[in-house]
Amino acid sequence: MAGPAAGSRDLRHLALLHRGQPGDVPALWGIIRGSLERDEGLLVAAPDASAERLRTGLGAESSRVTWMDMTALGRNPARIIPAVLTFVAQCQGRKVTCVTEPVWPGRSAGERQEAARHEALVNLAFRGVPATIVCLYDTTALPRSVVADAAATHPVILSEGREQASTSYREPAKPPAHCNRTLAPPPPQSGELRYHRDLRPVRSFVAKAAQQAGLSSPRAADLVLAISELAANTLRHTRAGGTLHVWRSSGTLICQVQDTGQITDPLAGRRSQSPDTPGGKGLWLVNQVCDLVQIRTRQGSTTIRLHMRLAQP
Amino acid sequence: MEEFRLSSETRDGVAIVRVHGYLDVTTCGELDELLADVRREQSRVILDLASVRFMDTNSLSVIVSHWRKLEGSGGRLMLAGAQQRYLRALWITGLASRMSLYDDVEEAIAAAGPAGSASQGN
Repeated sequence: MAGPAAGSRDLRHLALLHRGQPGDVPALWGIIRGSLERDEGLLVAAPDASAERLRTGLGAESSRVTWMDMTALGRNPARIIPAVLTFVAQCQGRKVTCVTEPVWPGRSAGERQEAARHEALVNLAFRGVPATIVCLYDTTALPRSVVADAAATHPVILSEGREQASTSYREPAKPPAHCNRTLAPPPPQSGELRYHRDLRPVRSFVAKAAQQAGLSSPRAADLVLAISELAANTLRHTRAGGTLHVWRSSGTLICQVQDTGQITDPLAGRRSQSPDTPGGKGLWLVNQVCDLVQIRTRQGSTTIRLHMRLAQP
Repeated sequence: MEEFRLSSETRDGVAIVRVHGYLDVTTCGELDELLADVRREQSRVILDLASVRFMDTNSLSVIVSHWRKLEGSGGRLMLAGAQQRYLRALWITGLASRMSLYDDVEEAIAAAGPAGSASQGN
């Protein structure tokens, strides 16, 4: 069985296509045990359902692993890269192996798009970083389109114990085309507000909508902050002001900011934050507090849609 | 709607900068200028945030930059009255646990110590 080469000094980003429980996949055990034998930093970020079997199987060794619940961390997939970058930094030059499961059965279409974007951006964010990132894809439970996205966003596929170069992966890694599809317009009944200079009306508009929707008060405050950050970016980077839309859709409060700017940095909001460096925290913060963030940007137009689930997940 | 106001005074060799209202991209420039002025006179600065009902990361960057400069020259920046329910950004970024936070100005003054003790802080 081929395993990831131990001596590589650059990122190795693999999709592990498996059937059923990750805990039953010998190739994954090979990767985990190999990493522990080499005394690497080992992070497992998976939904608890997957992680539990791995934890039990590792017994006392499980304390050498950093565990993260992917359903919390990766609810918004844009949070995963900064968390892994922080983990790599904490490992202080040790080699690092990360096992992640960014797409689990039941994720919405919008979440799957953002997870695929995340996977494409991993290749960019960890370029030159001596890390092995193994991403789990359960081919028995996930839609075929998800597996196709995995193939397109990972240079290497590990399947049936065999490692091979992905034929659909292209450098430089770009998110699959469907991830950039224009979002459906806000529904006609959505609330709308234009803003130019003063952000107070933007905040009170969102606060009121959040209260009416029954969002808990700390999360409402976070949403107000997130929207204010986006609207502040409008004022900083454009002259034309922006438009806010707010509406509810199946248990979620959605707020959208639209302006004439363009976000040219694909990793904006995904770098690990040193808490005392000034600047550039707005999008990072938005990613931290929202359940899903959808950004569609091109020259002269940026649309950012924030999702907050009304029932605490 | 909440109005934005700034004021400052000096007590026992400590500068107290009071912010009222909200700190965002439209108001943090004024705070930046005032803090720069205050730093020219005093090395120990208390930023009273008790009456602030909103703060964004642009404002936080202003505060962090003055905090860094004061610390770099042996001075101090103390935050008084910051409330988590209003100043979410301070907590989400992890800065609340790195900066010196006090319940109110009196507590911050007590912590600042007598005049001339700037470098004895922390």
